[in-house]
Amino acid sequence: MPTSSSDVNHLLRRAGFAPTVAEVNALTPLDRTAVVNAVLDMSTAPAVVPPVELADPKKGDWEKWVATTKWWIDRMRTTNTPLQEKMAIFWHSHFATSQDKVDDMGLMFEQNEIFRQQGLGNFRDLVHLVVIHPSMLLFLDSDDNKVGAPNENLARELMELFTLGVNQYTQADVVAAARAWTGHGTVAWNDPTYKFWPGRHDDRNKTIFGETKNWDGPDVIDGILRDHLDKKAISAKFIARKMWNWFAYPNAPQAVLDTITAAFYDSDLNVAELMRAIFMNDEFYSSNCKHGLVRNPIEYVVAMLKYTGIDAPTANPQWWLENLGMRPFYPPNVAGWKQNAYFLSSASFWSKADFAANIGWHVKDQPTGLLSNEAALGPAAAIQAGFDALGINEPSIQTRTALENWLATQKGHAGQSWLERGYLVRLLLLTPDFQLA
Amino acid sequence: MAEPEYEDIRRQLGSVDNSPWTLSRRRFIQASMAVGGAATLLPGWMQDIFASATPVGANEGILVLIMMGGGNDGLNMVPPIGDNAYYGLRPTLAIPADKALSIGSGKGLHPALSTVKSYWDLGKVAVVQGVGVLPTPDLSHFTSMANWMMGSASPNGTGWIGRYLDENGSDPMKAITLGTNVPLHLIGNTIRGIGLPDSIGGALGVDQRNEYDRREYQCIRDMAGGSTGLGVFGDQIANLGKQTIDLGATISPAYAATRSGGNLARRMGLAAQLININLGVRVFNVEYSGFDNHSNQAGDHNQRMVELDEAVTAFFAALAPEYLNRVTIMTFSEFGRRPKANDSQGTDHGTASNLLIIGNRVKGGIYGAQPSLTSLDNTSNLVANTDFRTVYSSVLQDWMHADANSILGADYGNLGIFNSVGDPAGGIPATGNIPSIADSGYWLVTQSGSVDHFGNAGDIGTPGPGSPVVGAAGTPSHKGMFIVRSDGKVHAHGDAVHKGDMSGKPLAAPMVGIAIVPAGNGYLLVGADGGVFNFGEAKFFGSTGAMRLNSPIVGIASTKSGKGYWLVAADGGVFSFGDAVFHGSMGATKLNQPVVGMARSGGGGGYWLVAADGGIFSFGDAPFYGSTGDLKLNQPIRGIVPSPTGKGYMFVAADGGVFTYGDAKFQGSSGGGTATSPVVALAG
Repeated sequence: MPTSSSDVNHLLRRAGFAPTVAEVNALTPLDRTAVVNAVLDMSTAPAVVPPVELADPKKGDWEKWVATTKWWIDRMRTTNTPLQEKMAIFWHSHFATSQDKVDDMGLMFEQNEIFRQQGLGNFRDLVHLVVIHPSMLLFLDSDDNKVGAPNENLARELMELFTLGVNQYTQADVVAAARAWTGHGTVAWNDPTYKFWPGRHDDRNKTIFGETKNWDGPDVIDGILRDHLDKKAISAKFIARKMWNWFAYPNAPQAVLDTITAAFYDSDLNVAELMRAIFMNDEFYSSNCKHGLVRNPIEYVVAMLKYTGIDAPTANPQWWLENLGMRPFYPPNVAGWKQNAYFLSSASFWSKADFAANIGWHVKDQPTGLLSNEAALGPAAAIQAGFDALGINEPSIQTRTALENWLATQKGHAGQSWLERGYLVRLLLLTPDFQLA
Repeated sequence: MAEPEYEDIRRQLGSVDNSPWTLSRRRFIQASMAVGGAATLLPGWMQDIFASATPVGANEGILVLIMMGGGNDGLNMVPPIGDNAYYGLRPTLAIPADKALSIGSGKGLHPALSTVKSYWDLGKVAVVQGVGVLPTPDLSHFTSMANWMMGSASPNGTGWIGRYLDENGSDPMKAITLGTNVPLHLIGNTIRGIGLPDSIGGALGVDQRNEYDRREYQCIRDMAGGSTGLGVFGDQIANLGKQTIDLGATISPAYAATRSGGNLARRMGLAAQLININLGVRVFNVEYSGFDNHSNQAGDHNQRMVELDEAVTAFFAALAPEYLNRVTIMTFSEFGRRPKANDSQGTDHGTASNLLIIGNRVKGGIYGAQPSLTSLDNTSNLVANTDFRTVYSSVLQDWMHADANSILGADYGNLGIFNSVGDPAGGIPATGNIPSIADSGYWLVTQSGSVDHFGNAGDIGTPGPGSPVVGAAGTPSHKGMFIVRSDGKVHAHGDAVHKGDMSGKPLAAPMVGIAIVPAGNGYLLVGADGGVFNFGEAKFFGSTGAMRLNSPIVGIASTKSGKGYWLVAADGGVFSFGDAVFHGSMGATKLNQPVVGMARSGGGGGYWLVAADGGIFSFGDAPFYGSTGDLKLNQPIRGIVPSPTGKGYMFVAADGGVFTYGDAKFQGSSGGGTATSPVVALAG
């Protein structure tokens, strides 16, 4: 049974960024199972060639950040496996690690690659890879965590933020887990290679989750995600709920959460199976869901650039992302970015308007491409062409009316025809329709 | 590191999940049918907000919250210098008794808090001790900050200031946060506060002069109002667009004033300016992070305290005198830090802490009590003796004159912190540093010869058609300017007096710039080949006209004495003549973008060069005040002029965007690419 273009468009927006009409039409003949299979198929993912600036000793941190941000935005804009990048964003927010403290864009990029390559794999493996990586060890002070002088930062966030959620462990668990993580650090301040320091490790018994043994740090991950089935179940639910919130909409009905949690748990915490369960669920295609998310700033920027055909080196997204409220590699705190209303403020709207105006100018200067025939179209046709070009397939009547009235008035001022195309683009980018995910 | 904000917290703490999904339950639920009901996404923030602002009433207090994200170490902010246990717990981190600023009773203030201490001496600072969440929470940033933000006997995912808004009219303008994201404490059941950015130049809605921009704004307004059919968020986004445009026009005067210092000081200065324009704001939230000092705390926390003191200073410096008795500053953080230092020279998450309340109507003194440093709780932390909601209750009742019991959900008592009546004479003084918005101005001149005027720069006419305009220079009185065209024609406007020009004369190269001599009675023209032509009292000291240049000359600046000048070339090369001293150049450096202009420093012993991308290069005694190097530029920079004091500068871009630094004041711009001809010069 074919899938409606509304459903395919919605799925491709959420599992990716900015589906074109052609991309939607290619999938509508398939049934939902096949469409979801296509979305989850990473076999054609583009090869990863790191930004050359990362290996250039003459480049400073700022330049490396700019280069890596442009690199990532452009990969998101051009990839044919966008879910891989969406997962990387999610995990970047989930395992929120900031360059502000790590101070090494090479490590940040390595972590980004873990999110990309393991983001749809087994969650337990992912946690192991991320937590033991120097980016996280440095970020959460593991270098300072030594026998007799425990530092609780990593132990607490592993439980509270990464796996279990608040109130699912005790302070005694945190203290004991901090002891378990002692000794996991790096070689030296100027060599951030992972190193286990036996002399710094607390080799005595610790009691975590009621189990007394000589726990090592990674044992805590396995304790939560493999051995203690009650903890594993809590974690499955914690991650499933967060994933649903991020990809569908916040606060799902309990039955939906139970269904996707079961799929995740039964697959031994395979993230791809969780995503499949989310994308297969009828609730995912409800009107609640279709209108239930605001594009976060990274998604907004990628959609803007993909639809307008402007690449990141031209658009310089690094100028705007911070004021939009989401600067890659600099999550605001250990809890990562929030969603929806978090990104809706006058400050962020101004920033969107600035960026949209800039993109409008770039588009205006292109001899061909997006809306280049705008001048020859009447208001209604021009607005429809804009909707088609920007992936707005079910526009609000109010939006359409406002734009048509504007363009009809604007077309009455013949001397200002030079501004129509650019202003139309910026207005389209500021519609609620485009700002929703 | 943490300013946990609201939406996750709403979800996670509005209803902490105490019924973890379990294996057996899963089997049960899989067999059962859906739990019905659509999710309630958000409360009704959907009213068509932004009614016009109502000014603050004569007896209404304004509260400024400084939110210290990450967990401020209250023990080092207000060190108990008389307590040996403090020094025992923190052998290296403790503030030495002789360094602390003693406030008596065995307590001190952090050494960096000198302004706060001076206000303490005036009796205008309340130190509240032992403040915390009771019962002791789980030491999570998240839970703790959410508790502080919600501030309720029965936390339900709304914030205490938000509920204050709910109960006191429907105007979201009553609460503003300076930052992109609106935090939980400013979100009520029906009203949420507004988030404002740190700068607003050229923002949507601010520039109302062009009809096509006004039409654009109207279109965005028209997307709002009714139902979008796109759900709660669709409606909310549409309303936000309308609100933002209306807001831009209202608040832009507050952004015209100069602010200086670090981020917190700038934000506090902005808060003061927003108070000065009296929009009716009752609560400001100013975010400030970096307190999660698990390691190497001494330097980091000291820097936070330096910034705090600087910010308090900046706030009162920028505040208009009529508001001096109307404001109260209160600090808060999600928790204090553990009394015992960890072995990373830092401190882990703690519980009770100190907070500061500062203002002319504050009854200075110590409230609450320092919890014992020897009888700690089972997490080795302080035991709070003052519920944080008691502080809120005191502020709401006596400062905001609001129904604290209703807002907080219970009666938390009152610490009696405020002198709500009577003459607060002898309080924090007006510093007289109240920026005036209309004490400067400038003109923007386009290539085709049209002129826009801003601030107190008057309408002094336009030169009309002719060859392309290439430069302009303001007179010393700031009441007139000279404009020069590529063919050497000079136009004098306002009080500028024409002293001759090159019009009609053969030129080896087009004119590119003009400089006025400081006395104002003459000027210099320079051509692309470096040929210099002097008029009036301006003297000729040589030129590069006969030199072979690597790249064309693009600008000229007179020395302070008028007895010399510098020329600058597009490649950054600088040539000095007369008494002009060479302080360096970019001639040997490969530039990303060509240099487009030059200005003499206020002291006269240096100069700035500006490149087309807004990069600034300062030489000699010219300070660096900032550049657009990391800003978006729609169009290249075309020129630079110093501020009237020389303690700042401003650039103009080809699309008319104006960028101000140091004490240069933004007065408006033609930004947004509205002109049919590019802006080529700025004069002030």
